[in-house]
Amino acid sequence: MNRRIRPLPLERRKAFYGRLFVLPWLVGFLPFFVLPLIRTVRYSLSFMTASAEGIALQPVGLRNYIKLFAEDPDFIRELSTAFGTMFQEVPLILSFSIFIAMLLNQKFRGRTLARAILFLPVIVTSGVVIYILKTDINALYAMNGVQGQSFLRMTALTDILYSLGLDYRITDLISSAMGRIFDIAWKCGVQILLFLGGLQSIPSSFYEAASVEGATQWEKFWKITFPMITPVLLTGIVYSIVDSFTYYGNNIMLKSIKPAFDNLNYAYASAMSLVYSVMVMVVLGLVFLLVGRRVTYVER
Amino acid sequence: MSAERSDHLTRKDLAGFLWRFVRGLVLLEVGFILLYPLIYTVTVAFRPPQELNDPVVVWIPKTWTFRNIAEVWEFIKLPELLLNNVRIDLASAILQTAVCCLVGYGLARFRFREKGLLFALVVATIVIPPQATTIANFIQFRGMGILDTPMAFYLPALTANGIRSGLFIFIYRQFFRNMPADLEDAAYIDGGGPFTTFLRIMLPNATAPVIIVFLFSMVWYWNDTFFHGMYLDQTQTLSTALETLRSNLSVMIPGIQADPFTISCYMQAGVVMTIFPVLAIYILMQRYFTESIERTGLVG
Repeated sequence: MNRRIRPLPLERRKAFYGRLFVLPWLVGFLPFFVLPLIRTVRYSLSFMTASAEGIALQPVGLRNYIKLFAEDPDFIRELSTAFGTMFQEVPLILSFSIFIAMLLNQKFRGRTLARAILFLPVIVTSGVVIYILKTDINALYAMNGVQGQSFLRMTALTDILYSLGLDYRITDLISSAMGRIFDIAWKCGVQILLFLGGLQSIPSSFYEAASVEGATQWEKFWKITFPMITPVLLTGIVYSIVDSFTYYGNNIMLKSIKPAFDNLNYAYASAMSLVYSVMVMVVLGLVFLLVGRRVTYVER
Repeated sequence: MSAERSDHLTRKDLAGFLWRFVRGLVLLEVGFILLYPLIYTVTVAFRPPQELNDPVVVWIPKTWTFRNIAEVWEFIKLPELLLNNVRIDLASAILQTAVCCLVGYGLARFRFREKGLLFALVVATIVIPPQATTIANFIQFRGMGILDTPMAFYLPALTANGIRSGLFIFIYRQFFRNMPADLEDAAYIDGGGPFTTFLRIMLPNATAPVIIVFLFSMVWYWNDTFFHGMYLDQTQTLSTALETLRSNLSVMIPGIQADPFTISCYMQAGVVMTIFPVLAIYILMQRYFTESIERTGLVG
């Protein structure tokens, strides 16, 4: 009896086709990602002088990196700010997106309109448009007006929470979360979309069965909805983290781009962005370790 | 008996009514926050500059004017730039949408040894900020002789290495992974090869991610100025024209610096000119877009 099961021809053929499907990406991956990345690493280990003839590199070992951690007065501070913002924002963004997605998933009159409006700014205002709006003094003034209003409402909320006898730490947490709603709502478009797609893919028979068994809404959410959207949740987490780190207004991004173009100090900027990338990767690796195992893929 | 029942029903009705009220309120609030900049842009673009300072005029101008657009027309040559945008950005977005779909499918539905590694590398391309390797990429493109040609956009898009390609591959992969295996098996039993199965069975069911990816891809190409400025410096598009609008205005129109209201109006007119094609496409595709979210769930 042959205990070793040899792969079936079909499986081998499928493996071949799988590689074929991925091949286009691999073809571009080498020249457009790997080679530039290797170059960037080499720059980060050099001192760079640019002249009319081109760029001259002078290897200096780890000096750029040492400068980064030992001499740069801002880098570590900026780095911890970036991580702090990320840890605060990502949970808020995710829970807000799930909440809005669940609202949009319900049946009500004007739902299509609500969806169209909620995704509209995501579609329209990115890149240069948001840049123009942020540099338009009048627009900024007008937007601060909106923020000012929500700030007023926020203090009212804080007062109510205080009078309810809540601890000030909890009150502060809630009010700072409310104050961020304006910023948060802007960063949620893609995530709302992902979650809405995820919610739609849950068979209604699951909920019907749960209702027959007498499950409450709360139980339905944690026992059906949440496990079923874990695959998109993972996508959402990855996207939110990366977005928070590579957001243009992020100080480190600004710092690593600006010196590169202003003083042609590209070697130093390379070192900075590489360190930063590695840290982002560590965070994502942890996320995959913690969350990845709990993701349920339903075999249907 | 019957009275008790009706009493119970009313309480439930009340809860339902309250919930609908709160839901409407939340959606209105969030919708307003998100629409705010867009409303601002449109009303400012079509109002005479002196009305920007008029306390009576908040949203609806006393007079609507096309003068701002006409003034900016000289700096944003719409017909010519629109053609460039279609030729470069729209084409790249279409290529990217198609190829990322293939790659995502390959990573989702086939089993081969190095799949895990390849997927990890795809995630790595999302994580490393593209700004980090820009100069190296620039040199790479120059070496390949595609700098300042549309090829600098086409080739990465064609090999699924364009703007945020990693994210799109990820979205496709998560989607295809959730497709029922029976569908695929049925196609194989009927004698369909992997490509036939993909084209005839999987793709028709994947309109949701295709539309979502296409919209995002198009918007991100359309509104990008960073890569356009780096790799396609000679070809102006709407976004790069908009980016340089402010400085062009102050050079070409003497004395405009002292008049922030006129600058604001002209800038917003430029924004309207840049985003209206995207807006038009979104409004046209909006139905399919929101419906496609609905159809992400394959089996109900």
